Amino acid sequence: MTTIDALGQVCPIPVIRTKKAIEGLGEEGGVVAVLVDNDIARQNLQKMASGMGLQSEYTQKENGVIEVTIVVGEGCVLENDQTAEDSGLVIAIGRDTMGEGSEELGRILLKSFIFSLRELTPPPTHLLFFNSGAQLTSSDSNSLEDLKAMADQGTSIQTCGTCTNYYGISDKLGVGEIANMYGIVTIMAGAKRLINI
Amino acid sequence: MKTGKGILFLKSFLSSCTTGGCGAKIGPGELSKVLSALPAFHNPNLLVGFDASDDAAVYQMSEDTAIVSTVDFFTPMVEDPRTFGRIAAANALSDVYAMGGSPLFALNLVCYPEREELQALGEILAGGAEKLLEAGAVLCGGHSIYDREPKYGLAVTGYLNPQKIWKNNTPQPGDQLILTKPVGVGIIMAALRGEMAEPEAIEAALTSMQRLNKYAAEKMHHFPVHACTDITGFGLLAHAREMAGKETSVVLYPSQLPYMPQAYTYAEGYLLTAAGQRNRNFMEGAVDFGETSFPLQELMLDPQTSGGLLFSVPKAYGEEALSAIQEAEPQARIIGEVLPRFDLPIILR
Repeated sequence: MTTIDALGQVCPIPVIRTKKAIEGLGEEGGVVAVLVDNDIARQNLQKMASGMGLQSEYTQKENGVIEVTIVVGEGCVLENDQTAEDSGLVIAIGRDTMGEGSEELGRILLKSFIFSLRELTPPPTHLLFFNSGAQLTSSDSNSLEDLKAMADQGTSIQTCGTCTNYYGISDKLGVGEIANMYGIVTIMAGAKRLINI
Repeated sequence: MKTGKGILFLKSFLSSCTTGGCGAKIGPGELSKVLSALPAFHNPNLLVGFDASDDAAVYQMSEDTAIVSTVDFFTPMVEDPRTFGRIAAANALSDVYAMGGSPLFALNLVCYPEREELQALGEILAGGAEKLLEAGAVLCGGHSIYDREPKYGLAVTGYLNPQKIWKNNTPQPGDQLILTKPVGVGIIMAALRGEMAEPEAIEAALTSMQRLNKYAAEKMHHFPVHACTDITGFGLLAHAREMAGKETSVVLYPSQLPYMPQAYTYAEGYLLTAAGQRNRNFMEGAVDFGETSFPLQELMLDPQTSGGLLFSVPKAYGEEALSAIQEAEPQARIIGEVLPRFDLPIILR
């Protein structure tokens, strides 16, 4: 998350700095948080965000400080709103093996884990994949069939965009959608139960 | 316009000023809250008072003479002190022209930091004096105090024939509206503060702000004028709304709006000003924007410093009046018309 301290600054400076930050995020997107101390600046930031087709929200903090959060990136925007209401069981997978020890065994265990998730009732509401976990949603993952089956049952499957970029597999996403960290954090925060692998 | 030394003097002020020019005006909504609590002064000689929210006060002296009185001052919006002086004077004189008057004399109003070089102040005052000379008015005094932020402006007194006052809220259905200067200086000055403005844009804005409304006004003394006002920090839409009053609605044609091309580009890139957003809030519920694009909306809400005149003239004279004005102000355009009152005071089509 990029934070811009625009306290004491009047427009156009806060909007100029925010726009530069948004542009600096590039294609993978991210979240820009801007601190301002006047409501006109808040209105201008949200006007710009909606003009650019971006989701934004704000919170009133102490001492007249307003934090405006602008989400830049694909996929996660609608998901956020849904999860805020009804995240049930969320499973976050940040690796491509399960447990400590043999890597080979770890891969087998994780595949088995995901297969077993299919049998859960109710199914998990969200599966989140990041770091090497992002490999599991790519088109050559050996868990792809299981994940697709869960997606068909309504499980939201999201993979960290920064991670797919890092591993060079952004164009090989086999299931679900790309999310940014803000989306991931929002889902985790809204979860009734969260399992970390 | 480039007096090297002056630029250095004022650079520090400009960065210390929170907002410059007419963008520094107290919002129209905020202002009316306070003004409404003041007692109303009744005097048969006061033909136009502040209760009318007009450009200047008009006080009748005899059957065929009235004096028109106005005061305007603000913080610098440009670095060059002489340019600032010229703009402040052109802006202060504008209210007299907008009432249909001719300026007679003026008094300087000066706020100036104790720690700053006096030479820059001399430049500011020289810039103001230049414009008074051009206007054919006399500088006859002033008042100055120390202040943390520099401010400059003038109290201007002029005269007019009380039968020919150009009020701001007396248009008639069937009138056409003529705007004499392009809009966009507020956005360009904001771009300057953000160090994003192109030199041609700055040049266009500075030239426009220093331009006296005298020339357009003189042309219009040969035509029937139903209403006139000058565009200020409240922006074009607020002045159009004021003009519409309660009896008429104003239709503006966004496609005909004269504007500085770079200002459009900056608005398209979300270079948004605080004053522009205050103006948007003030206009909430009063404008049917129709299909007007976002940049054009912003231009119509853009705070103008020393903006152009907005004339309401009978349709039969519209084209002829426009041609006459264009001899002095080539960018003038017919930007709308006046209709009997609809639901909303302003409709963009």
